[in-house]
Amino acid sequence: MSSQNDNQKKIAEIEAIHAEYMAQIKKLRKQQNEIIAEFVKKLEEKKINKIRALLNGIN
Amino acid sequence: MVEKKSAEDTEAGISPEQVEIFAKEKENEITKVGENAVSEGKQEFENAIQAGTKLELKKEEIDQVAEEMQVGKNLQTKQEEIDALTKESKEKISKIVEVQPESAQEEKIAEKVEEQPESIEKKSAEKTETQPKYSEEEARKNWKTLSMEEKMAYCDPKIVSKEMNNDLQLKNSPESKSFSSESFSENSEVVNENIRNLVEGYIGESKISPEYGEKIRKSTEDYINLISKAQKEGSVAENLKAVDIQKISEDIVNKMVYQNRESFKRGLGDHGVRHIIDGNITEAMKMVDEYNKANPEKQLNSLDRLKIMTIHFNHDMGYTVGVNRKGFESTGDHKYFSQKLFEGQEDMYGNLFGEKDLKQIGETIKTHDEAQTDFEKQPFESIVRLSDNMGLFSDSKLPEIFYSVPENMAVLQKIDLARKSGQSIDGLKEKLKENVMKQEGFDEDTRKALINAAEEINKMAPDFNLGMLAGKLDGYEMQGSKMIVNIRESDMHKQIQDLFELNQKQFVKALDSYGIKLDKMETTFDQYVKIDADGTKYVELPMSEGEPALRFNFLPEDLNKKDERNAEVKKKFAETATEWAGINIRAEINSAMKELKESKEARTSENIDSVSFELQAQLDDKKVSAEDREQMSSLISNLKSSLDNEEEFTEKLNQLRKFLTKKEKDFLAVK
Repeated sequence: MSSQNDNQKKIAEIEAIHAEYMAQIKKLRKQQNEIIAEFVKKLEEKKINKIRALLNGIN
Repeated sequence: MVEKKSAEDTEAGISPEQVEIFAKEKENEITKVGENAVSEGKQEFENAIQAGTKLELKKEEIDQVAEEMQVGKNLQTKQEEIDALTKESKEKISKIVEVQPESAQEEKIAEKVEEQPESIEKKSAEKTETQPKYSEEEARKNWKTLSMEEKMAYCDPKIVSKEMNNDLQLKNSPESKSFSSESFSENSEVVNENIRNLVEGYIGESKISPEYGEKIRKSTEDYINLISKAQKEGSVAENLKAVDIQKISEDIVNKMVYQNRESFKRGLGDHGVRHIIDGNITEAMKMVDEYNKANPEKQLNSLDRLKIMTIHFNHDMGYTVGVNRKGFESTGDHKYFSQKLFEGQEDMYGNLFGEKDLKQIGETIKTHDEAQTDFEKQPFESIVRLSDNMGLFSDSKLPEIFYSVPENMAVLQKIDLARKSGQSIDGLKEKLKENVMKQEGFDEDTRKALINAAEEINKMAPDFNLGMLAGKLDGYEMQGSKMIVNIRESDMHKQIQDLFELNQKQFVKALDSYGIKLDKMETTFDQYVKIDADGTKYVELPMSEGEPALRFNFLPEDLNKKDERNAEVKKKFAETATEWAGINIRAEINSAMKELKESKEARTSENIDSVSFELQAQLDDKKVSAEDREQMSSLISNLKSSLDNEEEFTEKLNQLRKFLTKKEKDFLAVK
């Protein structure tokens, strides 16, 4: 029975580590996506600024 | 699937081999998830570059943006963090399997330990008393490197309780009436009266405002009345003691007053009365009503409602733990702290709830922000999670600092403008504080707390706070095992959307929390939503096998239900925008700099003179003074001396970009 308890505890510990990993990796992936989203946003801004400058030139 | 297997095995008994197989499975899964995360990042970066090309930007221009933002470096750091986390988690699992007693001798040793239960208890007690590894400040810096056990060492229920009691200490003890007998059912009105006295005590000594105090009292009264109802239903014990229920009710009042006070101190997110009572509990109760209407044969009863309320009162208590009072590194783990704090009070709550209920409450506190939704099999948990996730759409989370001082909405707009112009926001933070000092109707504690909150505002505050106003919850309907959530676009949303370029950000965020990643799917919100025969935009989320568990209806603004606050905010926004448009020279500067910034060939002495001439000619005397013109000329002339040094030239160009006129400085409170 003792080793059974021990094994159950180990399974629970492994599950906890796995759950914690999944939670952390979710955050890191989100941060990674945010870096890229910000990059795309800046590229779009650059494009808009180019158009704006062009329009200014026309006006 | 693996989880299911392990749960069954836990009941039946597990062999060491099974532990090893289970560990291997989990290790492999972690490796795969880690690898996917890294390759996904690389792929997304490639996609972003392609998106830049589609925008007809030159390679040099894309590279320049990437370099300015240090995208490559930041991504690499993130990927290193992913690798480190993957490695660390696998090592932790290996370590558990390594100490697996394999030989018969080890089994015997293990059995000996089994024969001395007190030694196990002692060991487990020692485990929970792990000392914090670092100071709180250091711990925040190293939070990601700490194991869960090490993290939990920062949450000591005794300290939290002591800090709460100190904060809530009253000079005059509220009147407490004696009970006529031990029985709660004979004394429920006395409990209500004593709770009313306690709340009045807090209001009287300015621990909480009368408005919020009344909400806490009413919610606690609902809770006490639900206990009486549950007794009549037979879902809680008949012989509850009045003194026990009073203690639980006092605990709820104390936690609500305390969380509200703590929440005032933070600029990001509101975890006080508006979030917990006006938001989560109100929405959850509406969901229970709808669920019960559609499921008369398996209704959630008063005990379930009590448990849901208990979860919501306790679910964010983890934010009050010392290490979470500053910074944001550790706040994501608040739910584990909240669970630990609740479990530390199981003796008290055990006087109302059974063991199974207590376990369910603790577990659901821990998983309150997860996406898993299944109204067929887990209606209780699904309602808790959905009501918390929907916080985005009730304005219940709008931080106090902006909500309480309307003038600060304009400051928030200026923070956004300052951010876009690359300026410091320190002066605006001071402005926030001044506004708080001027505003009438705050007690001293609230004022102090708001001043603290102003300190915490960062440049991302506009995104964070205004995004929360995207839409409003507008009722629920249950169809079979599918919950329909109506989200109505708020009239404030449109102006905020235009002003802060938020688009459908919050809707996208809501979908994201349910695993639908539009950016990865290379689609926009408007492309993703479906439209039914009535023209209603909707999204269905298949959370379990078979039918979808959730459907979000995105309804247009209801013209008959205007929010009174909006007129004032709209006026304020418009005034600020007009004022800024009348004084700022951002467009002129950016346009003048454009050629010098983008083309290296254009960086000649003659061109710089011509840029200077053109800029001065373009600028309106209403916007710039003679002194401003002089300073600008000097900045442009400085460029000439750096023509041979590209790095220096870029830096000086940046100085020109950030140049503010006297009027702009005054507007953005830049010294």
